[in-house]
Amino acid sequence: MRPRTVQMHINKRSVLFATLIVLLCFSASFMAQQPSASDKKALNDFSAKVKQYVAMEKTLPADKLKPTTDVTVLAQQRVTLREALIAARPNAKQGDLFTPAAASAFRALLARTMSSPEGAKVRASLAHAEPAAPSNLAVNGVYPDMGGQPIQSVPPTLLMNLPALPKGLEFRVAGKALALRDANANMVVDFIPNALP
Amino acid sequence: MIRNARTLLLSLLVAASSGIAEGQASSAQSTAPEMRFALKDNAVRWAVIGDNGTGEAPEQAVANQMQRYWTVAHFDFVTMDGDNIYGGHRPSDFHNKFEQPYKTLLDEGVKFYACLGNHDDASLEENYKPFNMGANRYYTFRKGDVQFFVLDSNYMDPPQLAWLTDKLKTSDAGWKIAYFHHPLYTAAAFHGPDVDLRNQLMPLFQQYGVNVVWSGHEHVYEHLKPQNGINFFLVGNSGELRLNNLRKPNDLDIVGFDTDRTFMLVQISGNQLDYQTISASGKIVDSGTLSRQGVAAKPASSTGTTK
Repeated sequence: MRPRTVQMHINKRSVLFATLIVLLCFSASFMAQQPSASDKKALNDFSAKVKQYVAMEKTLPADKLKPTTDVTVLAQQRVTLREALIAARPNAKQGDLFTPAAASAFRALLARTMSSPEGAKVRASLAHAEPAAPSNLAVNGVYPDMGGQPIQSVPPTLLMNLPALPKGLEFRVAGKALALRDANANMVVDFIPNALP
Repeated sequence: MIRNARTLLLSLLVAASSGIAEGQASSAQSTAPEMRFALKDNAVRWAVIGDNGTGEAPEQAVANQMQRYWTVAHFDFVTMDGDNIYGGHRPSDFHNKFEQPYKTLLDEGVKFYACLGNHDDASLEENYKPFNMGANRYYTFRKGDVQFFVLDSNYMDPPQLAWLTDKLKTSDAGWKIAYFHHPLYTAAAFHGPDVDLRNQLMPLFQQYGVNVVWSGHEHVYEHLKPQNGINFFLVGNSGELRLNNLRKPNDLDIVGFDTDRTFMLVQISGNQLDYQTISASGKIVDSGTLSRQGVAAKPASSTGTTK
């Protein structure tokens, strides 16, 4: 009986040791997936600036787009909204919302996502939708439509890993750039060049 | 009486205009449209189109067939699988690529319910009244016992997934139908399936009992084998066409068709869904009946073949 008890102890120890190793590996991997404290702060600052932008937009005199059969009216409302936004932030420049610290945090976030087990699916999804890569992104500019070519769809896994945005704002992938787009005004609010690995 | 006269006049006009638009279809259009399923009272009946908004002759040819079939089937509405307006989005584009091709149906009060494709201009189209999107990228509407969940697969963000979960969970509709642009499954070679999107949506569809899914994006027609018990159709050739783009052979399609444009007619009554798919030249390329999942009934049948 004694040798069997020893064997059982050894087996228990082995199982405990293996479990401990697995837990350590998992937590190391989990930690590697988490943003650093400084990146978290940069992402929180970005979200605060986004809220300020949306609050500012709500104060503008421009009409909100409302359902109509007249596309001319919709197009004009969109132009009016964009002009009002430009007037409200005439000196807006690249890096205002995606500050250097935020851009660095976004690049790290995107790199982690793209190198995760889901990365291959994200890449496939990006390649899936007739990807268009406007090279002429400009803050306060119209989001480039490149002569009617489609805007790049954004893979769900990518969106799940990016900070939440209020309604009306969206992230858009443009080649390797990540843009923040005002959907109602069809305007580039800000962008990060070379955001994707 | 007036309605019958209008229908007769409409049939004659459609037959005439179809003959002009598509010479080769004239023999098919000289006879009454063929229905492969019996029209039932109080059924939910609609047409499906996708990737249609080119404003070119083939879109008009499909629209002519839709008008021709409307005179018989009197479908109430049309679901659009996205890419509703290709290229520019000026007022003239909405006219040439939507209002003009479907004018007769619009005049008859047929409603169109659009979803957004990757060629669509979201903020214009979701506010364009004839698309019935109610200023939303994604929305739901109900017809009888059928609830439609119309998704924006260009931007499947967490709020949209949360909205979908909530709407599916609280729906008491007998039939739950989802449609959106990017296909979760397809045998077409050009884009292929969006696996990332599939990973997000399929668990919800399975958990909450979605019965049928429609998508577009690939410019072909496909009736796919059920995936995890869910029926899938792809209608992405109601204006565009990617000739011979289906992988052959493939183990996904029950019926695949990639040599002409198509649209679908669908009818739901009780636990039964009838459908037929009609080409721009008036040929029926697929038809059959599906039974609602979880209901003991005859197995699904389909008459088409992979082409």
